Amino acid sequence: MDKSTDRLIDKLAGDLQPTSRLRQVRGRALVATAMAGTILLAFILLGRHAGTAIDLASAMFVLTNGLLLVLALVSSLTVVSMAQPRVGSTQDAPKWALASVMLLPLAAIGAATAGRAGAGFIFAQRQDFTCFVVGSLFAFITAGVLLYWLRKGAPVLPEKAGLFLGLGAGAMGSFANGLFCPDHSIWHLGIWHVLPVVLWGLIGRIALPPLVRW
Amino acid sequence: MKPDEETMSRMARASQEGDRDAYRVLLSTAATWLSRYYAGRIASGQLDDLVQETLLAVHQKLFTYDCSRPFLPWLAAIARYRWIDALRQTYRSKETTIEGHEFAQEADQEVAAARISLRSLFAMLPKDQSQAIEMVKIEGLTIREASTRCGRSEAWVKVNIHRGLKRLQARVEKAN
Repeated sequence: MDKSTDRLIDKLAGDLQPTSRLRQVRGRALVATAMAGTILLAFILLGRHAGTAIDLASAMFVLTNGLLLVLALVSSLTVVSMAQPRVGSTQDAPKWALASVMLLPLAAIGAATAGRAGAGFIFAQRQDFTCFVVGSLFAFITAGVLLYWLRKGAPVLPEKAGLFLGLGAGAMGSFANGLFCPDHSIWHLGIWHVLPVVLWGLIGRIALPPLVRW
Repeated sequence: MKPDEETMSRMARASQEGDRDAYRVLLSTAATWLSRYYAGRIASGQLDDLVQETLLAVHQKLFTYDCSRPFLPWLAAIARYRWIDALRQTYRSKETTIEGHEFAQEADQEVAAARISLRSLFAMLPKDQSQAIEMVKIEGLTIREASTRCGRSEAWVKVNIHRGLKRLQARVEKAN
């Protein structure tokens, strides 16, 4: 070892202060808080005024929101763990959760092609755009929390971390909006509730990596 | 001091609690480990700089080490991240010889070390990409010299370096 490395080690050792460890449980708690906050906001802005209620009797409602919630949870928890690097860790779960969510647009297009999606499905309605925009906006809360956590940690896969952050945030935003959405048609849920996930996935993959590099 | 997993984990835990003596030993051991780890995978003139940059990264991110897990995979992930950064930043280097092979071979005998070694990471690359990176980023040849040596166009060399580094980055946490 050369002398400059020895000097550096002495300096770093001299600067050492006790540190509080980055604990995953804290990251998970932050994610849970962000998710609860998003749902509460959705309830305040949409649930109360629109008079719509969570409809567990609708299969499409349960299926779409269930898949979005799984994607949101899996991606967000993966992002939390990515703040602590380790050779040998795998992050494949969000890919499978995303693949499941992507069955929804496939089903919507299949139903539309078979003529079972309802008249006028191909023309976007006001409700379609509203859900896309509102779902995308709700994603900011989870995205902000996850970005904070990644910047605090030491992610060594910035592109992947950015992508998963985007998927998790987009899915969470769309899930919160979906809880109070009155339209349970396969076309509406399969296309317009999945689009925020796609949009945020792209934002995460393209725009976020520079923000989490260290 | 010979790096062994259990001792390093214990020292890392003590360092997080502010034990400067343990931290000094930890960094010295890590520096030795890193010198072996990087040997033959970076131009020899840049080895010390890279080791020091990695030590700084370790210092900056020590709080992200989870004491319930082994220390070396954490250190290796940071080492790989910094190594790929260094490869990206490397342009022409006057040093063209690679020293320290014996040192690296000795380290590679340990199975655990092999799983996280740079050699195994490099072996995941297609031959064209690893060859282009070796020539330009490690041996320090210019794009033109590398292109002449392998009998391919300069664009071929550039494209393979770009793709290879991208692939390495995506596999930073892969064990095998």
